[in-house]
Amino acid sequence: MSLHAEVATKLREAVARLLGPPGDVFDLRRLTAGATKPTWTFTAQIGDTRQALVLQTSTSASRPAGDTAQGARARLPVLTGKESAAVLLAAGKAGVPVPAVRAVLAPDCGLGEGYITDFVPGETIARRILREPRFGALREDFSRQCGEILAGIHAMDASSVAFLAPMDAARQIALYRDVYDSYNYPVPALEVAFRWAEDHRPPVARTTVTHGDFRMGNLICGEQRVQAVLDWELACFGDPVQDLGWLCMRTWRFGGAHPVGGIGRCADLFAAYERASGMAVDPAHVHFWEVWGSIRWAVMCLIKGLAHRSDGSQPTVESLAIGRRMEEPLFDFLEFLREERSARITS
Amino acid sequence: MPTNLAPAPDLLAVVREFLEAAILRDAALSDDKLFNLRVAVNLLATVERELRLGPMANAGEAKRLTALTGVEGSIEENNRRLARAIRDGAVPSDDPQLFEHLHKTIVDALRINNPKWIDHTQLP
Repeated sequence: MSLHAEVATKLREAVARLLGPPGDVFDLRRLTAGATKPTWTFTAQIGDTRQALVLQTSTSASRPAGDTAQGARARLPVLTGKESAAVLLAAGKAGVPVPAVRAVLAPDCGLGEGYITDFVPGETIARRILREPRFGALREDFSRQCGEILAGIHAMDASSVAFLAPMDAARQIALYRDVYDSYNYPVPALEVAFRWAEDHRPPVARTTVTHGDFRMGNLICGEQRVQAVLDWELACFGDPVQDLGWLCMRTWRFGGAHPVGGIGRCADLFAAYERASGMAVDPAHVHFWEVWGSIRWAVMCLIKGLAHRSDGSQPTVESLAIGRRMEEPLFDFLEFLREERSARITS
Repeated sequence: MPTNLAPAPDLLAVVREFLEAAILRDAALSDDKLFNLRVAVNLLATVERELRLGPMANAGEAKRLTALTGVEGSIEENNRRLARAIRDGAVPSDDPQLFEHLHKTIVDALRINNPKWIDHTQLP
């Protein structure tokens, strides 16, 4: 049986059981998004209505350590399907636009870890959002909306997601260095980068829920508004400013000329965030997180390019292509460094 | 080599162009297949560029690594040495010669992996 047929069969049983009979599944389609975790869209017959839904599966591995031939390997904390669903519920309660969770998969559904949400119509592909005329109004307002949504995420109730890992700057830098070291693939530029990060680490100011991967590509966009924030697997407790820095990275501009997702201005993002959160934004603080973002993304690319060598996973066209992207953020890092040095010389 | 009439970069180019023309425009492809095919075609273009530019880039990197580490060794060994020296502080992380080396090496890699990243024009 093909993967598609197998998922269709199991999904029908899961829908009938968790959401209501008969559960017939139509138009089951695997989406391109989600390098690590397959996402499927489908329509299901539930009672008298046909409903557009999404099946989000996730990697079952969670939390530090997992044994490999080389011993315990440092791992990035990635949320399980059940935890992601809990985060989505908490986000929804805080007024953050997210897909409504309809059901969490049970182990005996046979579909792995994951959950089912309502389908949110809109576009996630940056290339289209940046260029198609129909998104003109969204582009004008994108920074402001992101500022407000981020303020909402950072105001989420911590007690309902107490399982999130604490991940301040120091811990994050140490963890990513461990992960990098565990691949035994020394990159001189990364050595300079980690040294920079350790020397420039901002003091802990505030700790909140943070999304961890808030960026163009993980946002479902309508023609007027950001409709939903996706991909919460890297959520943690940390410095909220990291989400602002990550959003502004060149990598997530997809060739666009402006810092915020390629289409918006930082000043609008910061002003909206300040209004909604009541917290002042220090651009130098955001800058640290943007630079750290380039280092973090370089490590993520390295993991993608090397994972199959150590964990026996099947390399994919996509994973190896991401591995070849490691120099993009390293180039950006060196440019940051050059600017910093020339500023020091002229001052 | 007995069969080098069409050099490897030309073979890759012709395969890539065929895939682009014949398959990438096939409207019947599902979104995920189309996405992966587009990535695969880009990877072929990367290999083409590596075949053309890789030898020169590697020679430059090897020479600079030898200058920085003082050791005639493979690129892999010398990268290991250099990384260790930066971590131990034997080579200061703000050393200008180190910076120039890293910058050149990364720019050369980008000329192969994603030349658009170092172009000044960003939007198409």
